[in-house]
Amino acid sequence: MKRRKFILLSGLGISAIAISTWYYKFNTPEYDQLLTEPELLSHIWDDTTIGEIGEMYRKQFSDENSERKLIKHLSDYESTEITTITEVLRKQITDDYNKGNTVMVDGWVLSRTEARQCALFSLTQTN
Amino acid sequence: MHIDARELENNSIIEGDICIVGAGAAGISIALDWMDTPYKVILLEGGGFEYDDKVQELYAGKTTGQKYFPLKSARLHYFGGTTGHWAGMCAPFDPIDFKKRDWVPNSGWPISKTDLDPFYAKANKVLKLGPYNYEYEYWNNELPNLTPFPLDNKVVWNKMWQFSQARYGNLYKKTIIEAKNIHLYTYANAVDIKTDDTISNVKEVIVKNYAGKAHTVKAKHFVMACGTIQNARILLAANSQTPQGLGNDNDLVGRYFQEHLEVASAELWLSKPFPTDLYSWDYGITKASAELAITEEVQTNEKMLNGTASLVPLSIAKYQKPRMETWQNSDPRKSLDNIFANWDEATEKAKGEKGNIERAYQLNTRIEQAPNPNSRVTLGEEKDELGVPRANLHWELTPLDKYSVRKIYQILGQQIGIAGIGRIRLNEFLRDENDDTFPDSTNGGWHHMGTTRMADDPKKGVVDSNCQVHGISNLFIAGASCYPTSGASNPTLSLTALSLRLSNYLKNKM
Repeated sequence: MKRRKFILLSGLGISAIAISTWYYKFNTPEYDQLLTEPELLSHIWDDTTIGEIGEMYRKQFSDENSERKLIKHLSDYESTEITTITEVLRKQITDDYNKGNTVMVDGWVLSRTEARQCALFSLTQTN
Repeated sequence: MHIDARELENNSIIEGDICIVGAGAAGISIALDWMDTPYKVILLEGGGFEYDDKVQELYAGKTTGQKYFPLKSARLHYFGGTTGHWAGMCAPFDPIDFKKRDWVPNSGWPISKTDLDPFYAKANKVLKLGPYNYEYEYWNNELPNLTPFPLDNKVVWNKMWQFSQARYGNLYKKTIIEAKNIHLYTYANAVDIKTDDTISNVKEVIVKNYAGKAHTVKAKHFVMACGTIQNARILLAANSQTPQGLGNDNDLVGRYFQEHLEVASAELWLSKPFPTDLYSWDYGITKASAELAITEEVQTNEKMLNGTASLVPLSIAKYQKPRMETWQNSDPRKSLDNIFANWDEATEKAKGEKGNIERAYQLNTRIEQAPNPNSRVTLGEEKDELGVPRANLHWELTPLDKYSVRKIYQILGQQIGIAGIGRIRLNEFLRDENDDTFPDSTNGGWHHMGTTRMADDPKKGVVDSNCQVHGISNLFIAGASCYPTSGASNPTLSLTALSLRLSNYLKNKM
């Protein structure tokens, strides 16, 4: 391989890594850790089970299999007067059940929101 | 008065005003209702006062289709019938159970719950239950700590049960024997029914026993109260004058056999302890408790069958084997021992279960079976020792049954979620919506229903709304075989009420 071509390709490779790192570092928004903590489920399951259910959710809904997408979904709620993230999540979960926005993962009837929390938790475990 | 038919001279003639064939819950309830009347009542029992394996053997038969209990051990064949070992759970049918539902083929009774209400009240007394009141509000005032789950009562309601400990064999033996106008014949197995030439009136019933004796019973009215399988079997076997059997001009006798599907279906995991006695049952102690039931409105919207979910602590239930597995011995005493042994073992193992599972419950379905003409009792090739063809049972379930069981837990999953008290997990056999099958672990409740179903139209039912066999003026059927649909409640209270209604009708005819 000619030296010039090698430098060019190496440069492109470094750029690709850098861009990718930049993309994930700067395109994954900061988020509250509470988004990874399904409140009610944590009274039923241990962390291992939450992670396993999260993994199953990501396999079942592969289009959501990224931290960025899950955070986007979890943050996509109507603005209300509720101020704490815990209260917002509680309301979202109740709304999910009321609207039938549920998913079945490993037999569990879960609100879409809490299932996504499990999925996000599972990603933080593997990262 | 008691007469052992083995001791009678062979070919005796027995005569009375009314002949009740079968001394189980239905037959004894009717006999008691005729006590101290001016009428001579003949009450026929195939067995004696105690278990007799040779008599029990007369119930043996083959089963096909969905796995079922051995027929020999699915009922008890002696005075008192299956009350000899029943659990005693009683609740009336719900109003919807009597209605025609366009999503349930062959549903609809020719009578309503209102027609049965006065007889339910009487049945409660025969079964030694509390008052005829099955409202949650009533029992909440009577008993402590019946706090319900905070669920939307437009979707889920608390279906109340009372618990009978009545074992008719012990409870009513003395009363029946001492009743002057009741003539109880033990070891008198009905083997044939003879009619007049036009097959519109029963002339006599032939009874036999292992002593090799046969007798003839004559009466003005005959009531078959032998249980759902035996009622159909005897009608079908009474084919010497009409090849298809009595009451079977429209090929309906034996069809629509129904059971209650009793199957472990899901788990409920609570996020924190919920102290209540509403959903638990201690045999001999609990007076009333509840199961979670789906409202009529939701059943209609979802086009599902009527069913309930009961709660068993998961720490115990996870070690309990399906009853369909432990009740496979053809000797009912041994099967009962097997079940109790397994329950004891499960209770012992549960002591080691700690943590969140202590707030978890197995949800067991109890649901009606959709009426299905292919689910049926027929006559086998083989005959029993008294010369009657044995019963074959083909138990067949439908996609509507599976859909309805699954739907209960989808609904409960949503409602428990809304209430924020826990989460529901469906058992594996319910997770695939395209799977209509039931596993072999699916239990029945030993509740046999539907083989001589009630309908105003003879083309749709074997008996009319008064339990008279269509076309035969003095032949009546008592018991759960008359149910067109099987409801969500266990059958004994309703079959007692229906029998007492028939009894009242017959009294008015005398």
